Amino acid sequence: MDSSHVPESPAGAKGRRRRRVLTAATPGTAPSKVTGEFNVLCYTLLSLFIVSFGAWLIYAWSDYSKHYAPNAEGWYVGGTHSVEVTLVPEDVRNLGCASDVMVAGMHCAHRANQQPFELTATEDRLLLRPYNTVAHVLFLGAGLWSSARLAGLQPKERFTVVCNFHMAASIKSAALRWEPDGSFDPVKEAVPAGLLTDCVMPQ
Amino acid sequence: MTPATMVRTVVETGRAAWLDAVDRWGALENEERATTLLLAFMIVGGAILRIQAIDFPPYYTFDEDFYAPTAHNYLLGVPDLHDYHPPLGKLLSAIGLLLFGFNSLGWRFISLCLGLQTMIIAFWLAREIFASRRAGWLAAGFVAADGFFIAYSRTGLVDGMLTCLVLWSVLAVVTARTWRGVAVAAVFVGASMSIKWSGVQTLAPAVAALLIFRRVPWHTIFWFALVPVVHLLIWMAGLYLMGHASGPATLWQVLVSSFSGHATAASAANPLASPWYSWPVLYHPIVVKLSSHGITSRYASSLGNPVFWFPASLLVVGLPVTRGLTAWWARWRGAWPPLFDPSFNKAVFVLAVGWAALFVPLGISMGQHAFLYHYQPSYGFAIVLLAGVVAKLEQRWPRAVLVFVALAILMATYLAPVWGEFPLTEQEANRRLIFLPWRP
Repeated sequence: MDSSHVPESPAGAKGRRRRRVLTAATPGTAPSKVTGEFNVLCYTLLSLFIVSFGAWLIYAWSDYSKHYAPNAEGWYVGGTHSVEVTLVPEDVRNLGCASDVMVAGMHCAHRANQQPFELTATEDRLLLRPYNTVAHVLFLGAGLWSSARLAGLQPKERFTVVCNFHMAASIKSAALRWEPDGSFDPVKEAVPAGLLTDCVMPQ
Repeated sequence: MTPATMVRTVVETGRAAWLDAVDRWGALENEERATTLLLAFMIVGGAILRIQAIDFPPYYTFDEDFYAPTAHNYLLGVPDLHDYHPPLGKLLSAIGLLLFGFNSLGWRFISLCLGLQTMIIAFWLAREIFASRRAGWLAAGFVAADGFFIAYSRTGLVDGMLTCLVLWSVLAVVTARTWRGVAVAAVFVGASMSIKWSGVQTLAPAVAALLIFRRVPWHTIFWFALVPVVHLLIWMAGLYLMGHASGPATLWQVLVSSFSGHATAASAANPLASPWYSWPVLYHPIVVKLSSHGITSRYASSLGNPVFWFPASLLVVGLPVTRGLTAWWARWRGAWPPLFDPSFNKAVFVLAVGWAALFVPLGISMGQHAFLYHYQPSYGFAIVLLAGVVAKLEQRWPRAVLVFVALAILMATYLAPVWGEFPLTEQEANRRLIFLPWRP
């Protein structure tokens, strides 16, 4: 019920409270300066909030693609995902990538200009290679071939391996090749990159 | 303004607001006070029901897999046109992804924010259109304690967002005093239309409000020409962000393809679909979230609160028809209760137009592919109308209104487990979803 419906002169404490407010709201009195100042304060704070929030959103947006890889739904930097990959033994030589980006010590065998990376790692766990999961998600992984459980195995033909993929970054500029002497073809979208561990061959 | 003045201003304004609240409370009768407390319980309870465990389950439910991946792709700039709805709902969802990441909380956060906001807008709209603060509180309480709104506040879908923006649009017209207000309303209608095309039907209640209340000159109606401009700009921004070409030719192709997508979908049968004329009688609500864990499951059903649903349906149809008959037939003219004054009748008319315009054309055009959620914006108007009527009746029968609100709370408490995803056995759920079409 609106205050305009309030009786003018009720008795008791309630009445005293009521009179106090009604006095302030009596028609003809000057509008409250306090409310005017409060409105200015509200608008100023609201504007500041909107501007800051907008600026933060733009910043967060620019950072978003560093944490998530397109076409790899749910994969994010710092996350671990189970991946299933089908390979042939020759893929250890066939698969390669070219990029200047180094992620947690891992890098491609070649730089973006397709020259060998100066820090060419002999350790498989530092050398990124391109893989496609059976669900058609493209990623750059290191450590598949040296993964402890796989190391003892030497498959002679096509095989499938399941690994944990620890995503370390989303690399925007990479070129890939799928044959040892093939040309590097640039990928248009960012590709998740990280370490492959705990690889097993499902029986 | 110095910091000291700022603090003093805030303190003094807070004190004035407190005294005002104390004054209003003192002016209420005992029954009205009890109703007020129940409404406060509804609003707080409704907010808690919406917020608690919103990130559960941590995977897509219902149509979330239409919207969340697309919002994600907007942020990554990946072309993705698999969802044929306009882009604004997904662009808004993307804000949640930026805040919380690409996870279930992220893709449901904005639905929650706008779902909570719907309570506020319902309050505001009812207060303005009926010129009654009491109607506002009743509307906020009714929206808060209704599962139709709760379920969609907890789900990463765009229908709750649409309802919020539709109510915003009409509120903007009702509060407009100059052409600027109408221009803002046009932007809101354009935004509604950019969530789902059905939002364009908000033009009907918006124009009706403008012409009936006459708070702005009639020619300001031409500001509604902004609606398609806003809509096309939002589409183009969406295409641009996804890395598509965003020129007029591409936009035209996308619009044609979206229209074809709608037309194709309209001919596809779906077990969750229900005919439009069954919506006002709550025939087939959808369980929009369902996750099973051993012998228990968690449900978020879009079942409305029957205590509101049926009276709202009855009133939104009955009041305008009765008013029309009493105005038309001389012998019925005296039958119209004086409690319902001319300004009240105008408000009822605008809300009834909104209710009918938002679902009848859509329901018919969608053919076999119409679902209860298409009714949500209409129900928003119906529940605001119900609040206005209850506020009027409370002036004469406060005790009856207290009983009505108490009944609504009892019903809400009973149904809360199937609205707010509490773990339930199938038996417990079925005791609440009593009719077969209500069950998943």
